[in-house]
Amino acid sequence: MTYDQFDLFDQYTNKTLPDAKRQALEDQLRDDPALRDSLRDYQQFRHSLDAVPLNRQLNRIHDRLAAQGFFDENTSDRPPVPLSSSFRRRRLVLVSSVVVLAGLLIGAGYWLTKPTLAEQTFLTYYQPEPVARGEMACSPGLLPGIQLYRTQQYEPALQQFTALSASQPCVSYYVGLTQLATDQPELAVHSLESALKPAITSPPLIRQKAEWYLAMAYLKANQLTKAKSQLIRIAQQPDQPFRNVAQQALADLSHD
Amino acid sequence: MLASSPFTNQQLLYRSLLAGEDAAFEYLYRLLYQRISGYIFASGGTRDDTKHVVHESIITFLFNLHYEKYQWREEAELATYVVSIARHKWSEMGRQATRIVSLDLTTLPPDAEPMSENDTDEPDFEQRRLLVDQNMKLLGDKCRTCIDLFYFQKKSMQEIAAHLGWANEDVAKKEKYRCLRKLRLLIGLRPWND
Repeated sequence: MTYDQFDLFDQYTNKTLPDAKRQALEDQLRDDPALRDSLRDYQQFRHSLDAVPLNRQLNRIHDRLAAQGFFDENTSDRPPVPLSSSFRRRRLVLVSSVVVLAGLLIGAGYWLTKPTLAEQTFLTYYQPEPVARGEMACSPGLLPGIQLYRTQQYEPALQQFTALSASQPCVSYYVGLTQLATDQPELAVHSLESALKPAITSPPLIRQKAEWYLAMAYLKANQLTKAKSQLIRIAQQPDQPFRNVAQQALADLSHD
Repeated sequence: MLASSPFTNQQLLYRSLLAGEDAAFEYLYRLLYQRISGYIFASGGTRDDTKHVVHESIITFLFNLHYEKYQWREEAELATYVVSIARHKWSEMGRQATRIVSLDLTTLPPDAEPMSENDTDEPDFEQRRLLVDQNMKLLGDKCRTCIDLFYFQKKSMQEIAAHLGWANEDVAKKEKYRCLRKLRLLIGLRPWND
């Protein structure tokens, strides 16, 4: 595999390949079995690398669950001890009553706290900015705040960002992103709208991400009309990395 | 435990797993362990075996998820698919160790669905992962750090270039390619040629 092919596959896998190039590659893959094999080989090798931190993550989860006693509750290396039938009957009645009562309470709770369509769509599509690639295009002064954001230390991250001048590229974006993560959707809307003002010259990828998170902020703030308009704007841009997911979100919203 | 999960629907779980969210993996871990452990114990396995099957199944599942071998279906439960991978893994382990004398069909988890040919033709990710881990130590400092920062710590190429003193992102990408070529040779994979 040449460097150029590797770079192409890398961008394709990272979903950073522009739409037109991605489409061209997919067309080529359909007709070229050797290219398909090369991509497969790249993906398998790539996954062998990605599996190293994933296995470490699973080990941490295992240790955490062990400390909580999860495995003692959920597994038994011992044969099960039969219960006496009368005790089993009483337990069955008790458990059934609890289940019926819990069902009624959950049902009532659901109808009282049923999320709106906007909230439901937000819950489905929102996630904190997941991958730390690309923010170096912003000012280096933002990096300490970004590191805090990545580790979900949102309050100190917000302090870091708000200490910077809002006229700097990327600052309003990260302020808005952090406000959204800390359940302040109205403030996030304001910051992300500011990030998209023409006077602010942020890197293109940051502007595209700001457009997406503004749509999320509108949903969270229950501003459904604005959210739909924003999603349509994203879905109409061929090079928008959030184009597909915006189309899916619009389809979900249209079920209303 | 599962009732308090934030994963109110399968699509949210699907997206969260793709994004690598720890809470999603913990949710899947609990679910898979609960569904597969009885089956493994019933066929002579131990807790360590169950842990091993759970880890390897989730790793294989992630490959299928990332590379679109798993086709999203609204009505399908992700866990059902992972259970089928786990069942296959356990059978494979049994075959390798000739430990499982016979698998009684009544011990199969009721929600396990049969795997397709495509689900089983992947390389041995466990073996490859161990080889990657071992052979990383044989790379030079810069190569090892570059791969660690990009694949394990998810840093950008710009950050890596700055950290390792490379002129820019393009130089860093070429160096990463060079390092991966070396690593492939060390673990005995087909060489990449310029």
